[in-house]
Amino acid sequence: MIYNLFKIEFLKVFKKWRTYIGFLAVGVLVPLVHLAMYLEGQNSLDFITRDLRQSFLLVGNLLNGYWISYIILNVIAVHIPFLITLVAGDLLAGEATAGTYRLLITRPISRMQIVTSKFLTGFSYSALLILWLAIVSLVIGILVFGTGELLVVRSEMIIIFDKSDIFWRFLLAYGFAILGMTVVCSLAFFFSSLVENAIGPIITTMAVIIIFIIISAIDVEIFRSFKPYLFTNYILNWKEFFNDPLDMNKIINSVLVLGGHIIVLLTATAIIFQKKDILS
Amino acid sequence: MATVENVIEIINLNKRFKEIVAVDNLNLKVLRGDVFGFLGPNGAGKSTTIRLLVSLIAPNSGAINIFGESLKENRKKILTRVGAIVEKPDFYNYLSAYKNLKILSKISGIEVKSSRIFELLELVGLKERYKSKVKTYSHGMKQRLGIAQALLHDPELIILDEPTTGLDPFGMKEIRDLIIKLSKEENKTIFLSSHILSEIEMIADRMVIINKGKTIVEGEVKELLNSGTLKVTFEVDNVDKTKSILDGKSWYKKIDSISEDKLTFTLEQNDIGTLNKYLVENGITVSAVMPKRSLEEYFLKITSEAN
Amino acid sequence: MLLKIVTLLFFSIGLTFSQNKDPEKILERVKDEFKVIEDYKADISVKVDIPFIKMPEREAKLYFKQPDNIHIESEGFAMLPKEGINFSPISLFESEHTSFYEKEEIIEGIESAVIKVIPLNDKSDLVLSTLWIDLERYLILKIESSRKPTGTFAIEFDYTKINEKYYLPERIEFTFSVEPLMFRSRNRSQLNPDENKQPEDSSKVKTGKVFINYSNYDVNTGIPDSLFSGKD
Repeated sequence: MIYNLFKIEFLKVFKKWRTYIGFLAVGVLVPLVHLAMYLEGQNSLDFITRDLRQSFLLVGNLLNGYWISYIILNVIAVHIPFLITLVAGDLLAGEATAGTYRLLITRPISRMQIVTSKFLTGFSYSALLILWLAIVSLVIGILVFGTGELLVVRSEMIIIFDKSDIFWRFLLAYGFAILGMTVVCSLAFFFSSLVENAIGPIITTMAVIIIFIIISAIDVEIFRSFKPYLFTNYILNWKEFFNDPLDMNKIINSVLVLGGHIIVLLTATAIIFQKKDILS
Repeated sequence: MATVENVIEIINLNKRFKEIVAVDNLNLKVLRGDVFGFLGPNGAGKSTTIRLLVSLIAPNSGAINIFGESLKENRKKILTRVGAIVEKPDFYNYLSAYKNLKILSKISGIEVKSSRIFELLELVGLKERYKSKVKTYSHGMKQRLGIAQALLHDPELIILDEPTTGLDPFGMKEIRDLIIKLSKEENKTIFLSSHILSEIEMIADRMVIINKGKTIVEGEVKELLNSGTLKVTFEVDNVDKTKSILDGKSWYKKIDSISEDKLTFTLEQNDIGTLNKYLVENGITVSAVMPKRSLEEYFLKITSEAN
Repeated sequence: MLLKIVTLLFFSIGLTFSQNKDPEKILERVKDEFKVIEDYKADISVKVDIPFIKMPEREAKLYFKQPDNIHIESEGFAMLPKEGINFSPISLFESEHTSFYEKEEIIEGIESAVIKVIPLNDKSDLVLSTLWIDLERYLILKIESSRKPTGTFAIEFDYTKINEKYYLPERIEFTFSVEPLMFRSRNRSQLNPDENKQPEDSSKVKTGKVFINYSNYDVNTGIPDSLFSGKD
């Protein structure tokens, strides 16, 4: 039944044009970054490596598909949550707005099944969006710029990864990004269960993310103590896959924190939805 | 004596929204084969009761049994045998009528063939437009699609919440005919809410009138409407002359109100002819006799109060 | 006290030798020995051991042609210390400089002359270079240099004999001081300020090393000039 419901929910989501905003945004933005990199990438790379080149002779192509995909992930990872929110905030509240809860809930399916199938749909959307990001950035990146070693500038060091040592890192980083986006999805989904209009959960989720990011960015003592409790900090830890050696503690910790968020938010959503009076 | 099965049994049902009591200790029984009229003015608690019946909302107290089983405990099993329209018909506007029904058929608990969907679309007169997105549908078309979705899984009990609202007279008649057909030919039990007494009178066997969440009266439609006295208004050519003729007679006490050219009496059904004859014999020209049943009168009163 | 005596003794020995040895002659000899190599091509592998930088061992092809043309071909990215790889004795001695013989020293069992070279040209980055020169084969075994902006560096050479006649480096060890600021990211993520914290020991100056191994030398095969016309 869940599979059946999931198929239905999936169809519903992908029959709505708003679902394609995310794919369209990624499909336009990423090639724009590619174009920018094509025109200016060498300059910015030169800028980053300026100090290095004083003492070292740098040979080879650092302006490659991997580096650009890495930059794109850095730049876009912050914006993807907004695209996720558009769809996830609508999952439950959209049915309320449209009045279609009445069609669904009067059927012999449990509310738990509805929540589960809708969450799975939100998750699939998040995963597909990241997958789309991965495909667009890596495929176009590699076609236009080729492959090569990846230069990663971390705060404490510069790491150059061998060509053969990169792809798996991207796979895991995208995988981690999916996990992070699933937290965003769960949050929007949670808000979506509270209200009857999709605008509310979309805006609230965006506000939460923006506030968390701002709190993280303001380097003040009081805010610093909040940081470990802000999920937005963990979402960006896909970067840990571009470290050598991998900081497994940090990665596992992040996965657990994000997973915990998903479980808590989903449980809350399920409980709220279970008890909700459908008045729309 | 054959046992009569209660298809719906509502026992001491209560539902509050914060301070507002929407359903107040409601009790009712719908028997198998009934076209049950659920009558009440707007805001009487009809929709709330229907939402409770299809588990969209949960009661604060009381019980709902459908097919003899507790809705709370056997929700899924019960809903497999129930079709419903709750308030206005809403669908996934971005999908076609066919796709909407297809989706709903998959979660109806039983297998519904595509041929059944087309049958229903034909029944409600939407077959030509089955591919069109629902957003292009008129209200009447959506209302009819609503009926189609309620019938999708061939349910034994069909709950219809004001299904004729917003339809033109022809559309209303179509829907009423369909309800009668479902009841007579397919032996469906139909729970029909309405705020129009005449509609209930036309199609329902039994009914309940509720107001402010409470049952006012429950019983056979014919019995309820035809029992008791009537308010009968006689339109006459000379009110004063009529009054003087009746003065001192037993009729005079039965005068309820007098206006410029009308006298209204409280009468038994049998008295109407006798009085009319008496007046005519005494030289009064009676241009019209308008009986009104007291229940109808009462219903009009609570309806006008509610509005 | 003992240390002082030994130092003094060493110094006086060095001084005696220095009077006998002409540093310019030695340098000239080094240059001449090197001049027999018109060009060469070698496979190099580069290993980097620098704090704040992590890089896998890289392979590349190195082309050299007199006097100081260098071309590097690499399938992937490679990072090579400029002084280590570009080092050609000729360029060092060709420009105006002054030199003096300091002493003789045994390095890994090889008798060598220690010569100090001070460029007189203002344009040069080098302030002072100390060279250890193998007095048998006239090869530079080791250089220590002070460089204007980025501190000191040292290069140690191990040689191999190619085609029974040419001495070319088999292994270079390039040691230099690293200022961590030099590698600080210029495009920090604004969104992840956590990443912006400085490494704890960022204030300390550290030492970095680059090891280059040479193999598969082809000497004097007549590499065309066109190869070096590129930037490298």
